[in-house]
Amino acid sequence: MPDIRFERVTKAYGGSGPDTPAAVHDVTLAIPEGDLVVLLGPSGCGKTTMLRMVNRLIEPTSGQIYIGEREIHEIPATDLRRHIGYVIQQTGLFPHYTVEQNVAVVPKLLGWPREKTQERVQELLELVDLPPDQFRGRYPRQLSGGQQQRVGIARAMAADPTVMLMDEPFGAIDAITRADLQNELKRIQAQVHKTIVFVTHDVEEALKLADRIAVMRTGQVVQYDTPLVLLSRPADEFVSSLLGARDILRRMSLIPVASIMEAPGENPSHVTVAPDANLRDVLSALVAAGAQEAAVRDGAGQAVGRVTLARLLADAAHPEQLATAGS
Amino acid sequence: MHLFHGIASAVGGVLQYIRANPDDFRAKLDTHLELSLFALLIAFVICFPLGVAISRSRIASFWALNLVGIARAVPSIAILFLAYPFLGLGFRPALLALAVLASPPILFNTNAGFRNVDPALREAAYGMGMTTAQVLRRIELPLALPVILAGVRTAAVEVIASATLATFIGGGGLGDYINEGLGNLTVGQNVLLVGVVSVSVLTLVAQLLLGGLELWARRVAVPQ
Repeated sequence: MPDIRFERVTKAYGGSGPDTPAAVHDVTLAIPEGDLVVLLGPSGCGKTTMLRMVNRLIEPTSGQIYIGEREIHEIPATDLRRHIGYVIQQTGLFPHYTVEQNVAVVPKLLGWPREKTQERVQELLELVDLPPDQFRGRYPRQLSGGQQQRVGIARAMAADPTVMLMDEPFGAIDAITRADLQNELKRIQAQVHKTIVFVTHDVEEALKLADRIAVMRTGQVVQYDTPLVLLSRPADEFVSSLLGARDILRRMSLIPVASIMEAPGENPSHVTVAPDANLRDVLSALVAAGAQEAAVRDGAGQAVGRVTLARLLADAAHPEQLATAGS
Repeated sequence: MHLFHGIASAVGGVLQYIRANPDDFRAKLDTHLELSLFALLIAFVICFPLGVAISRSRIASFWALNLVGIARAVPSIAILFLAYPFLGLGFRPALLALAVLASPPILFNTNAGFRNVDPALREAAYGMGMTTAQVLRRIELPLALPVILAGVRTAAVEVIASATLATFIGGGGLGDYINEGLGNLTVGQNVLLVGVVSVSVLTLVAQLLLGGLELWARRVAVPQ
């Protein structure tokens, strides 16, 4: 599975107006293969322009973009696009196509045999949790917003692309459904490990989904790192305020308990947390129980470590040291 | 009751006339239909691609629609006589005039139909690797079709009605009956009515057929 590299990419626009996309200035950025990288920033920062340059819906003024070993402009635009999954905010589902026909668009363009396409549609609808027998024949209009975007994701994955581009895919969806879809995407990504570029201006969403976040402002990448490093060592005031880096609880929610866990003691506490819990979970468990110490227990109930409130508070106050431990 | 009776007896008279002169009626009907269908066909072949083309540019569609809108103010009978110096009398100038008449609704509606397609669909279609031709045929055309067909229906009704005027430049058609009837109102009343009633029926049939087609296209574009 290939990585994506932007090398000194610039997109300049002659005019300016409400319809003119944001410019991008001399950006170099490497997106590791199999990672979900979020481009985060306020509107007009150039994040969508960056995304759309990868599938050549926008052509850069200068610079190169590589997917794996190949510079994307060596590949005819239609071929390139058929091998990149693309999900947009408005879903872009074709209203005169059924769910099945929508998902089958790219396989059909690639000339897949009918049976292979049908099997793939079945598999994908199951993957996005839409029972195929129930949903295959429906039209987009007959689906809720959340269901529509599940179809959108299935459609983007139809020809099993190695790279996916997602442009604010959950931006138009209500908060509860959005959280569901985010969890769903995490689950799917853990299964398929695509190289995903994900554009959003929603900080919570970025922190939740990203392996790495590129914070953008006026066409440049201000800082590019893991969520925890961005929160603990923001490069400047802009990044700090955009991410709400001063929010200690937000930062704690990104640090796994394993990073500050000590060896289990003689008498493990009755307050129990799971090994994949984060520091915020531990803090709420301790506060709820009025306890000073929690035991980390695995699925079998075996104590594998302990966390004290004192240690927790000390570390939360000094995130700089944790950033390395946590990542 | 009086009106109903009047209509019934008029239709009776018309049918009686047609039964008495079947060949003559048939010839005039054929000319009328030929004029109307060819005029629509010519207008469609020119205005559909033109409409698609102008729909892609805001400036082009602004100018094209305004120019055509102004030209539309010319009455159809004037268009008939404007063609006369170039094409003389007969079928051909009538055909040209009717094609000109049929053009604006087809052009307007093709432009509107394509413009109404949600830009997000176009973006998704191109983003998935469809070629321009594929986007046009698979996405834009089916979604724009109901609006385009509504334009064709408007044009058809206008053309069938206006083909009646072709008689004034020797174009023939069912207008001949009206012309003849007007020439001699005392004995020609039935003849006049043959023209009026048959053109009305023709217009109605065209409305229904094209309306049905439009309904079908709407079902395809907006299922359920």
